[in-house]
Amino acid sequence: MSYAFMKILESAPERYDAGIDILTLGRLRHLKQDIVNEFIAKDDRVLELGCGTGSLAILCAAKEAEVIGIDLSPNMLAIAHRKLRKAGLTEKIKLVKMSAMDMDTTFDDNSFNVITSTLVFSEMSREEIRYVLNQCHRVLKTNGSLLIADEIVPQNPFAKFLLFLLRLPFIIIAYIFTQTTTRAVASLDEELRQAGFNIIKTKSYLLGTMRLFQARKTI
Amino acid sequence: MIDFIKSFVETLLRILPFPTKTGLRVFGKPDRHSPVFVTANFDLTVRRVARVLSQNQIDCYLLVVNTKGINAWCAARGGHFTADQVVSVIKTSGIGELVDHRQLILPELCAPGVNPREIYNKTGWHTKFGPAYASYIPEYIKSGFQKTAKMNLVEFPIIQRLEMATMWAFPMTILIGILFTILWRNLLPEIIALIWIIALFLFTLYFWLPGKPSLVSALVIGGIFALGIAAFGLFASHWSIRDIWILSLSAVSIAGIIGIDFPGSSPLFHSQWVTWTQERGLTKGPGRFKVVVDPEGCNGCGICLDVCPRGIYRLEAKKAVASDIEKCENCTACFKQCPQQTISIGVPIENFYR
Repeated sequence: MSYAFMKILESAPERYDAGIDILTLGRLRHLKQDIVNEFIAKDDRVLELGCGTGSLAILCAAKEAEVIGIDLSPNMLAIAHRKLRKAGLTEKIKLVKMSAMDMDTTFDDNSFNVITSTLVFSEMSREEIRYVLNQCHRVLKTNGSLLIADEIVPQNPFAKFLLFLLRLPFIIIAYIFTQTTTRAVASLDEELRQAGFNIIKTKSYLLGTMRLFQARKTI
Repeated sequence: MIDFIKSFVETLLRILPFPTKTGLRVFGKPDRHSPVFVTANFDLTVRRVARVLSQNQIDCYLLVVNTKGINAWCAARGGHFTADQVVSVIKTSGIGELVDHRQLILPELCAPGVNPREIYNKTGWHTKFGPAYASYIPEYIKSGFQKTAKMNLVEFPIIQRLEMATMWAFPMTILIGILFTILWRNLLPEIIALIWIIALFLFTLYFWLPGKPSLVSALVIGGIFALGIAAFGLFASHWSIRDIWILSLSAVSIAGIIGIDFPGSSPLFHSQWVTWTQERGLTKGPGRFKVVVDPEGCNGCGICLDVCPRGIYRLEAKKAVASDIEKCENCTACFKQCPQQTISIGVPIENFYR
């Protein structure tokens, strides 16, 4: 109801990077670097779902991959544009304001080597996750990799509660100063298999609360 | 009972988003011609809409859109309730297989964010804006899905005003309560009472305060409370002079905190806070603006009448006229929905958010 609240949300993108750093204790930076070091090769065609302020897209492009970054938020994209101009990578990265739900009409089958997505699936509903994973499977080339990094709900309720308590101060600090927050996604591995992916590798970050999945399209 | 407890907690913490399950919900026994309503996934709203639909035994479908737990009004203006979210729920809910028609009924208050042409182009679904409040839905259906003028308008009745008072008072009780527990524990009961009395006073007497609701009017009330505390403290209490100072200044501060967005806390007025930050370039946006209709381009379709929650538009000789312009709260719905793009906001478009 309060306009002030909505305005706070609106003004958040400028401080989004800082907020995420606080929330993830800087681990997301490492994770993104890991993705690039391990999975991105020169001349790969990379699709990033929810590129936000473009930090991962820039890392990929720096490794001479060709990146298409899509995001829903025009404010985030404006910041991304600024960042990639500064990095001199405007040639290598194409930013599009678009929803992952419109992948069906935008991208051809078998057209990407890699799809990346960090802290995006946790924003979606279960139905949306299924839909987008199916689309990812369609647009990836055979043997292409889908790399998803997201917050994961721990199975053990005690661990869940303990982690919540540990993270609470960071959640509060990040929310107060940057209005950024994250949510967790449940059973992503099962959804990946349902969509036809083979999970090749997972890696845990932040005491297992954040996880990186490498899923491969084998057929 | 659980419903009641949820509503209670969510009202206290109303300032925070409360997401609920998104996607398709079924009410009664809908058939292939039943209406399809859309709402935002703010738990409090969804449960209210659901209550209206089930209590009135309406056979229909409800699509709950993923607005990140924010209500339709705020989500639409903050960019979280746009055509993208509606397209997503159409594609993932399977609603297309359940009905023969292609007509969604959107909540009127999402008009500042949702672009119907984009939804149509991407999915083939038509949309129309239903009533401002779910409570009008039964009447709306009875009248053959036509809105009366009343159904377009937002209101701020006493129950909503008390909700807003609670929305401000509860978080302040926690935060200021912690501060006082650390610094001035002896005044804890007094300060908590003061927070609730001032919040309830400001919102109960919302329309009858001196001047229009504004930061100034809230501060004036805060000042009157401060004087009252001083008078009471000096003549009839055990408070020390220091206590009186603390409580008096707190009264002004509490009123000031509520006052920062006092008009914006209602659905009736434009937000002073938003205007203030935009005019100083702290946030993006046009600041306070006046809508202007270009009579040349207007084809009299009347969409502006349909989406204006304040009823400022009339049709005169098949042209839209913005009359009660001082009532306009700058929600941008008319400006964004006008298919002829003949409504302008009198400032260069580049200054405008999105």
